[in-house]
Amino acid sequence: MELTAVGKRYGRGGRWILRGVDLSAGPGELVRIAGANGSGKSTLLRLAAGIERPSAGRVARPGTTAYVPERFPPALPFDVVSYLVRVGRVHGLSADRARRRAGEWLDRFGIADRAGTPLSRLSKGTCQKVAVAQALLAEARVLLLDEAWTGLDPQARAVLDEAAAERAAAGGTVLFVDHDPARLEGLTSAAYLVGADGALRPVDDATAVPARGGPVMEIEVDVPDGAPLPDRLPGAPERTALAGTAVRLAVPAAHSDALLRRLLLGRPAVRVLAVRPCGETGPGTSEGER
Amino acid sequence: MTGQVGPLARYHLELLLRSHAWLPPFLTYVLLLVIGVEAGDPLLGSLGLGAGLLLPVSAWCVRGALAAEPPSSRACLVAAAGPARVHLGALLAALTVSLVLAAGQVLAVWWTAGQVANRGATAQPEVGSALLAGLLASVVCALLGVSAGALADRPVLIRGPYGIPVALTLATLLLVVPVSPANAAVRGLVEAARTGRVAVPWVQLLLAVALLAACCAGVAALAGRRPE
Repeated sequence: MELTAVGKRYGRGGRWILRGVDLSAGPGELVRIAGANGSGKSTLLRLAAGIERPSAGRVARPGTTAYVPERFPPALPFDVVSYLVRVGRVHGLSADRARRRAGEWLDRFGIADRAGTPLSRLSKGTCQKVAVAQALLAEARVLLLDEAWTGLDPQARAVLDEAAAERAAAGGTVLFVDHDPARLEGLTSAAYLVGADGALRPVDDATAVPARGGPVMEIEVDVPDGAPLPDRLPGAPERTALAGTAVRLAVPAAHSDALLRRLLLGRPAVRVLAVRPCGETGPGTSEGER
Repeated sequence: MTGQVGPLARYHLELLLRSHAWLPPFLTYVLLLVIGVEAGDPLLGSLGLGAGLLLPVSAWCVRGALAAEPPSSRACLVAAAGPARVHLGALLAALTVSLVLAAGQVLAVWWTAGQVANRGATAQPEVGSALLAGLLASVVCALLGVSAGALADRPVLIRGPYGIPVALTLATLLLVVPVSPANAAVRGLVEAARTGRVAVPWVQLLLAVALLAACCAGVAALAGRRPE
């Protein structure tokens, strides 16, 4: 995903909403776009999605793109599953696979019982789950989330957090905008701020660089096939090689949940040997294998 | 990537049908046919009327297909498939409905018509060739109607109140200007009704297909350049 010198304004002589924007995000990146209301964050995502055309510069997408709009209309005359299957077909999935993935995502969001409900009869929150599901089921190379968390209940927000991290872990590129500065804390690989002048500047994201000095958790994992762990893990843990293929990861406690989730869900497959507060010795507090 | 146009056309076709956006043009067409065609009228003349009326009705179907999709769900599709393919999908959906109307019109007129040519005709042609000529003329009008509708909506005319008058004007021009394939096809049917000599409008069909293809290509390319 690459934006080169991208500018956007509406009409000749209009104000530049975005100007001279360079943004490059490769596979596995999870990028936060921040900025004040009306600063052009959404426009940036829409340019990245190809929904709007840049007035200047170039947008290159590596492959399929999935997009979750800020507001999703319940005005479509489809029921939930048939809408998701139709969109899945447009993403190039077979009808069977589209139906299966639609079922999986509805299940994960806890709305499997609404599969046959017309979109027009859904509550706003449920409708937003459908909007998110239509993008996630594509498993696209690029995932663009424009305040997709807004309107979701806490459980669904957690599912979307997980899904965004999974997509990045599976080699996708995720760009997101959200008003919650702690969104995907410890997982983002970069953060940018859209300024009032329309420029995009990298920022030291407080959520990307984990706070030091607090309590630290140690997680010991074994990678049975000896594959290296991903370079970027939630909370940027300190790594110590142990005997054999085992690794000890020391991470700020605030990010340990995110790190564990990522280790258990991502690649390579790992066996968690121990999880304990730093300084303690002895057997771990939990064990699990993926 | 061209494989996406099929699912997009199906999506838009279902959207057009389920949103009932097809009903106003369909009912108007039925009403006009009921007014214009009486049971027992000569077949060829009625086919000519049915074909001619189909042109503005097809343009209306395009408006319906393009308006049925709310902008934000279109945005999801555009991200997945690009604006040109999404636009083509909607045009193909409208074309499908128009072609169904063309076939339905021929069947309905055949059902109610009396003799093939007018009473004073020198010869009574076979029903088969008359139906074929009527069907092809209707298809020509459907294709040109879709072209007119595509030119009189976004992304060519982006906003405002001009869409419907422009579509009507284009449709009327396509019917009355002698160089138009639609005019030639309909005129051929009317003349056949008078003389009894049926000419199947193959050439007009080829021209209409080429015209629609050019229109669709141009409009889809423009949709890529002016996605909103």
